[in-house]
Amino acid sequence: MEGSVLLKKPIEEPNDKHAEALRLFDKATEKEQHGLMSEAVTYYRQAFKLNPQIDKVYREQKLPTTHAKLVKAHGKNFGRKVDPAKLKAIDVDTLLASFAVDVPHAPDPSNPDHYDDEHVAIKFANLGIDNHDEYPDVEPVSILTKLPQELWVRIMVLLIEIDPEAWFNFGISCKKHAFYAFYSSQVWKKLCYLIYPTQSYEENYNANPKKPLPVPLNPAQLLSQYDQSWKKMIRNRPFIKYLGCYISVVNYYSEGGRAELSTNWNNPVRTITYYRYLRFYPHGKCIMALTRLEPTKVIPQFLKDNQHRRLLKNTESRENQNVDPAEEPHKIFHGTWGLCGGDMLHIEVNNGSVSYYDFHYRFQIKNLGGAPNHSKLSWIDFHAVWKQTPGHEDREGEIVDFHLKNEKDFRFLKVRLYTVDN
Amino acid sequence: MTKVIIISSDDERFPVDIETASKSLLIKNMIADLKPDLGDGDDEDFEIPTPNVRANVLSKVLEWCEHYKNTVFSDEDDEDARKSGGIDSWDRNFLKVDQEMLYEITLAANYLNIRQLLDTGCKIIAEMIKHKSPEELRKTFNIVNDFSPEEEAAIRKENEWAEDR
Repeated sequence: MEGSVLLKKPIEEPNDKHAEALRLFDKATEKEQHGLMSEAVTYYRQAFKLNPQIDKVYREQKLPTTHAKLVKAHGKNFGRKVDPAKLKAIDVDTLLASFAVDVPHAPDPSNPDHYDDEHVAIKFANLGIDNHDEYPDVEPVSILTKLPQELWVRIMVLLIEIDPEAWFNFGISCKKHAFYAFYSSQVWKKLCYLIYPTQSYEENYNANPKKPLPVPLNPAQLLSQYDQSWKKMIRNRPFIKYLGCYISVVNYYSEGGRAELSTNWNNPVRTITYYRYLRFYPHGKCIMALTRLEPTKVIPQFLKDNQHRRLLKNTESRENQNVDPAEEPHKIFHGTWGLCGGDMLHIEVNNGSVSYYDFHYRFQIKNLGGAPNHSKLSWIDFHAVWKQTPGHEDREGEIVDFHLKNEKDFRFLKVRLYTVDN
Repeated sequence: MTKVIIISSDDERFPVDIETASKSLLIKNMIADLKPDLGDGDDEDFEIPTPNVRANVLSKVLEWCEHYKNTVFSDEDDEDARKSGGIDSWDRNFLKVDQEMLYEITLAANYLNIRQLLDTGCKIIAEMIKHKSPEELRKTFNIVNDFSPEEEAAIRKENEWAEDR
């Protein structure tokens, strides 16, 4: 049980050495998650040198607290095993409809179901620390839950705009709330209106202003294609997301793990890791970067308003305005994007890393992990076209293909810091 | 001056100006339908019963109407602008009440069709929900998680992606 583990004294070690080992191990797992294997190994080694048992200590100390924290945030079902057959048998729309008549219940301290093992563990752990009792008092359910459905739907429509995560969290808090948050078509309609009118469609470029746009920006005009269901539209009609960035982690092996002038006989390979970052803005603007810098460093400065148009290795030095471009090779390139044919994305960068190329990237928007999330950008084509270049007039229009052998698909990562215009 | 007398469900009488009463579209339309010449001459006072609203709630709601009786809301007919605007600091103070009163006021605003007050009530409730984890929300509303693990997993899978956009 987590509670007892939490209360256990750390293994007898001088404190700073112990803490340092944990810190190094933590750092190593982080690097490993980012695919930086060789760096991860270095940190793991250092950690094990300080404490040969560090993996055990880490599992005993760090993981239970992380788990307990998550249970504390998400509730009793977090991390529980589910029966895949039962899960498959559930039709969510029918289930949500059945929640219409549900009534939320207040916790009952005498009901052990309301305080399962994890909760008792948390309570137990908290008791050990500050004698703080976690049981809520026996009080009735908040009267607000009794507001009529139409008002709850209004509140959901508000929330989906200002804090979509809270909208979801509210919906997953109990059955009746799920009915309010996920059942009404108005919520999905709001989402469609937040998303589609700001997308960029290549079919609409140079459209005849006297005629209706080939791809209407008002989603209502397309509703009939989705059986009049807003939810179906959002599930089936790909779109680009703005409140986060798309990251592609590229790992490949190359020879040359041996230090220069080394007399070592073997020649180990080393992993090369680099990242491609993409971020989109409403109505067809985007930014792009290709760098070895990790997401934690890049994300906070990956902004269209980044005045240097460069990613700094040391973000602290952003304070001083005298950034030497030569010292900062990680550029942010600005480009344009458009969807075409429904699920194809075309990105064009005219001022890229090679001055005489126009770069073109084509991706297909796909789903990730079986959910209709449109969160993956899958590579289709990457080429450049020669621009009109003095001295190379004959080459204008020539196409240069780049191979996609090492390229990996992009995945969307939500970033709370991002807005549609920063 | 001619007054509109609004009568609560527990029979308390609230005499108010026509402007104040007209903040409620329900009452405004009632006056227009039943007594279009109200206020023109020295008519008798016009009584309107509100069988759904108790006196303590009605007095609160009328306090709001009184405060805004001369305000013309620029976004009166622009539902989107009204819904996405912030909360006025006077309103925020006015609605610093317990959940029970917030519930009653929101219901009354809905029944009496006072759009601005209804929107503000909904925004205050939305703010209570903002930035909270599911467990924190269960505490806020004092409810238990009544999903089976499978139900929760199914609903999560079906809807969670939609929070990213």
